[in-house]
Amino acid sequence: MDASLWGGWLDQVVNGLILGNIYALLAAGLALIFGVAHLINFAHGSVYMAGSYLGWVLLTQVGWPLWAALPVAMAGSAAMGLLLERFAVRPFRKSARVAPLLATIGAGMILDSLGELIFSPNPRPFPAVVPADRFSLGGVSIGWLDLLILGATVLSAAGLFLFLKFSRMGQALRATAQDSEAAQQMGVPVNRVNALAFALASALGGLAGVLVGLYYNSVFPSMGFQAGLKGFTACVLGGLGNLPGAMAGGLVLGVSESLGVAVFGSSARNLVAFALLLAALLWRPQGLFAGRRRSLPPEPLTGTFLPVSKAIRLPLPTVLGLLALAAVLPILVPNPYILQIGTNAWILALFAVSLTLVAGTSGILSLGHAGLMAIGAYASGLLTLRLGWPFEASFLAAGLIASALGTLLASPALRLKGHYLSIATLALGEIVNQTILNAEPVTGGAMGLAGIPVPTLFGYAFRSAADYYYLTLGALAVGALVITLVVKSPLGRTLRALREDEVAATALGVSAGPYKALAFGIAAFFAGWAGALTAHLYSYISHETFGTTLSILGLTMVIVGGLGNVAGAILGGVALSSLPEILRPVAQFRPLLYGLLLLVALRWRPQGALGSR
Amino acid sequence: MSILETRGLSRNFGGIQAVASLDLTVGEGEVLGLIGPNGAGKTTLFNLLAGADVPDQGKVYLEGRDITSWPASRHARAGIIRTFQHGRTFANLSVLDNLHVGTHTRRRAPDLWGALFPWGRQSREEEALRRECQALLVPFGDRLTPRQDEAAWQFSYANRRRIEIARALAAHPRILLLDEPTAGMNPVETLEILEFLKGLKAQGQTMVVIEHKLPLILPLADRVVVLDHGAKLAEGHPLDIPRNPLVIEAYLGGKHHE
Repeated sequence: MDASLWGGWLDQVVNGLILGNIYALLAAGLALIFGVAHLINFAHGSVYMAGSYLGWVLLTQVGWPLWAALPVAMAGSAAMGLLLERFAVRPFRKSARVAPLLATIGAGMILDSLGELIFSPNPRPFPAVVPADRFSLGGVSIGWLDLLILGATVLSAAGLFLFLKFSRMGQALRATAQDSEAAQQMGVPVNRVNALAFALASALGGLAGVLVGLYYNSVFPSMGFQAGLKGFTACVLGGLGNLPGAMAGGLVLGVSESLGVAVFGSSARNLVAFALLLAALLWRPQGLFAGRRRSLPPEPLTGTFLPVSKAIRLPLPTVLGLLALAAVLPILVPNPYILQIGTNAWILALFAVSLTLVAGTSGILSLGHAGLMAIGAYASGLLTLRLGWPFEASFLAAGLIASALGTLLASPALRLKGHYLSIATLALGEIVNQTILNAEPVTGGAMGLAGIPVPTLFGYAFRSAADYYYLTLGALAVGALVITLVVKSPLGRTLRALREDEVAATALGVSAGPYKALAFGIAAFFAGWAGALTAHLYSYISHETFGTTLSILGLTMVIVGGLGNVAGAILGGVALSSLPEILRPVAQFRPLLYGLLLLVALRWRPQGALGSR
Repeated sequence: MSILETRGLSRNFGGIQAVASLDLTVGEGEVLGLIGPNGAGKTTLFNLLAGADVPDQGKVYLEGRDITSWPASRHARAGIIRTFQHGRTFANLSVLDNLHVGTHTRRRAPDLWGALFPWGRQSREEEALRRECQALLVPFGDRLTPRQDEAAWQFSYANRRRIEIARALAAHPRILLLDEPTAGMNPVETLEILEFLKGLKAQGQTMVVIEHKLPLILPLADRVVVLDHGAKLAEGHPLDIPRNPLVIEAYLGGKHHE
């Protein structure tokens, strides 16, 4: 083989290992928290981002040297971890399973938007404080920074190992990871141990953040999200809660990404990572290093996915009255601005109604629902633009394609449970967007899709604000009717039974996979509609239109209204889409408010405004 | 003619032999009692019979058909219905809805079509099954019927066990597997369940019952199998079991002296 080509490959592997060290640090923190608190910390990436900024401030604004800035950034991140544990995790320890997971998502949103508010969304250049000269080591090019990253990771891993193995607090931590109730009975201060795990994990996250800033020479507020996903990937590769496994998983991920980039180009980096995550979840959910066969999970005594509550049921006359009111609004208030807000609200409400069947009724906590919207939007947009289909056909096709493609993509993941399922749906949403980004000849790639024609129905072109308003209201009415019928039917009851206790439902003859896929398929149809409406009404879409932020926003709407409650989903959709209009003067605070709203709702009214069912 | 049969059934958990090369038969209309000390492998055996777990070795036959590798839901459709040791009701579903889910394998109306067009066949079936589910609550007197629309989480532990038994019966099981049906019940409540189960037996219901309480199992069972360390320690008529020295040793530990 050509020596220089071989050297190029070797360089890629070494690059991957260095990046893998950073992933390993992230994964170690996630694994530590999962081990102790049995929780996937969705705010971990945000803490890493915050640590990175802290390092940047100390290095550039305060002018400290690296050796001083690094430990202080770690300490600052640890403090953030303590706050996170105290306010977003501990209050939910005895809540329904879904609550702490969502609370960390809310906390992550708050941190991310604080980052944007304080430092602006634009990337900041990280100073080159590490000498840039490189030297050859056995035919491989290595720089000082590479050695620093390697050294920091090895030292952290060794320190963590010694701490867990030999210190009293480390023992307490391991005991809590084994059985937190038993540990509590033996006098282990479980709350303090949890806090300690978050502090340690966050310190490692902060360290990774500073190192990544140095590595890429830049830091930006949204860097945490992708990093968090990379951390999950490494964790899943190593087996959730397995600390050395997670670190090894980080290295595997780093090398796979580097090789993927070498083969497919740099835009494929994330696609490779998320494909790897999904593959690991589907084929080796126990991780690369665990034995093949696991024993059965223990029988739970009680415990429920949803907060228990009584749903408020709207009587039919009330529903019809509200619908009539919505229908005459354009006549009462012929203000285009108000109608545009209404249009937006109906689209998001349709999205929320679709999501409530999946996340509420079926208990599939989907963090990638906006991916279905993206499929519908691109399907309808491309069919009209490239193939000249009429809107009537492309709109119907958008629902069917979102339903078929979404269910096809998700059905292997539907076998997963709990945290695994949430990570898998998150990855699916990202994979849809990354595929759109990479399939440039079809989708226009990063340029997006422009000039999507206005909707037409049987020769009538929808152009005015009132037209759009009625079109979206009509779509919402159809979607809400269908989902309500499903929720109220024996099918809905079967889905709720699966949500409450899959083992018991299966023992009564319910095939979990097909039923979940059916629920997902019905929901995806209307998510696809919501996407198609967005595409045709705004005439421009891109891979960023339907990102994970939108998925999380949808979930917030559904929770605020009441999980599994169709009227609640509409209420949540309308409330959360009008809120930013009311707060237009302080538009930059929106994500912060969404995050706070999610936390507050989970803490004080987890069953939502109209109750979950 | 046996309905359910196992041959050489074995299951290991990391070196612990939970079920060890077990041969078992259950006849039509028979009530088989399954007793044994804690950790004898009774619940593991149930998991294997109901398809919730797959054996390392051996086979399970239902009326001569090899069902060993079927998924749990298919076991249920074939008529093997179980309850759980610690009770697993659907917490946020009403009592009646819990029973309705029990009728799942008997529904014929198509799911999605029936949901979108909830009249005709769909509503007739739903109505008939609802009346039947309500009838299943009657034997439990005032404990369940007046509160049939309340969510299951609001009920006491013992009542949740009753809901679970009624839910299993809603499936019209060929074979009913009951895992400690009276756990957590006082002696009076236990007697009530005994009478109820005797009534089922009189109707010809085939059952396998795990139970620690000998006063319940001895008058109910046609035959008793004693498990210890996953293997069959003794088998026979209920009246012979308490006198069997091997059984006494397994339960009391040490040698038994007359």
